[in-house]
Amino acid sequence: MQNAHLRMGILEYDRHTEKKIATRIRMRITQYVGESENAHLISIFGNDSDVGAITAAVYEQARFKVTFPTGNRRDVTLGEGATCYRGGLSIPGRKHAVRRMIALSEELRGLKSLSRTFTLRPEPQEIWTNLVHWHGLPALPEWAEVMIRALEEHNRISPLDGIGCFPVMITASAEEPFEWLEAGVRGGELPFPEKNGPIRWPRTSLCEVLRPQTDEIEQAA
Amino acid sequence: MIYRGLPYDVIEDMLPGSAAWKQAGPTLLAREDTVTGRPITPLHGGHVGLLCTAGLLNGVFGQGEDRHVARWRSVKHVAEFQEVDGDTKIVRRRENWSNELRLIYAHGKAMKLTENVQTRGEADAECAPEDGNP
Repeated sequence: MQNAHLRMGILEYDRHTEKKIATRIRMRITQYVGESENAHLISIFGNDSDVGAITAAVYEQARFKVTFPTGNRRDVTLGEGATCYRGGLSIPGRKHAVRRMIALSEELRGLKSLSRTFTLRPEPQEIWTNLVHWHGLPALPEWAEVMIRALEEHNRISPLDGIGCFPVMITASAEEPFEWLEAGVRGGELPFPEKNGPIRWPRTSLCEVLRPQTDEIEQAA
Repeated sequence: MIYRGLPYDVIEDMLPGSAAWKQAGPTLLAREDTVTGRPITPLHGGHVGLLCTAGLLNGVFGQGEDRHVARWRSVKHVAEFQEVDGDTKIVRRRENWSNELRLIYAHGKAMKLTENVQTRGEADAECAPEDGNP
């Protein structure tokens, strides 16, 4: 895919020590999920020292400046309990591997509260699958359309700030969708399958979710 | 003019397959493990119990009136205790895991079976502090 730089954001981190030594790190963001000042996912890449410094800053609950591809800027933090996953990428024809890091907030990992579920795309099937797995609901993939309609009617799906994805947040505790399921099955809106057996949930790959969308490419162009 | 910086287009294509995404992926994309097939020897009740609590036997079961969808999950309970020692308040948290089964029947009845007796509409057990006295 061409023109990746137009789809990426920029993360800036400024640090001033007591000895008045200023450090400024700028890195490219490939994926970002955030809600006003609270960042939930930051995916960056760069050299070893820069990625190391940003990782340390995430654990210190530092604030970062995020510049979106549209030019909008925002000061964000991942907050307490964030965790970082690091790895390397070997690029053909280059001596050194590119380091990369993905930071996830405590809320996105579901350690703080389970009343909020995050998805990287506003696809009804993906939203429903995530919600069911997150809350452990007895449900079927065929019920996605009806249940997403119910969530939308109750204004439970809200879009979030995103770079490289179109994240949405579903605000619902386990009990609410469970009650809607009960009402739906009783009312006949949610039909039961004809045969008994395991439930096959659709599997989505990360490549598919993170592939730049046509709108995004057109917007960048 | 020659660009000698990082090849962003190549990196963008390679990122979804990186080790970091493989670690973070399960948090972002829900995946369910199921087991199918016939076991070599018949399963005992204990085996079935272990498979159930591991969430490997979620699915549609029963006949007629008892037809239902069953789903198991593990839930973490956090009990918070407070002790007062003079002017000092000591907060202790005890964590324990239990299993929860949610059922929905074909006629519309829904049930949540837990380790303890719980009333419907009670807050979700996971990560919810339970105030208790030592």
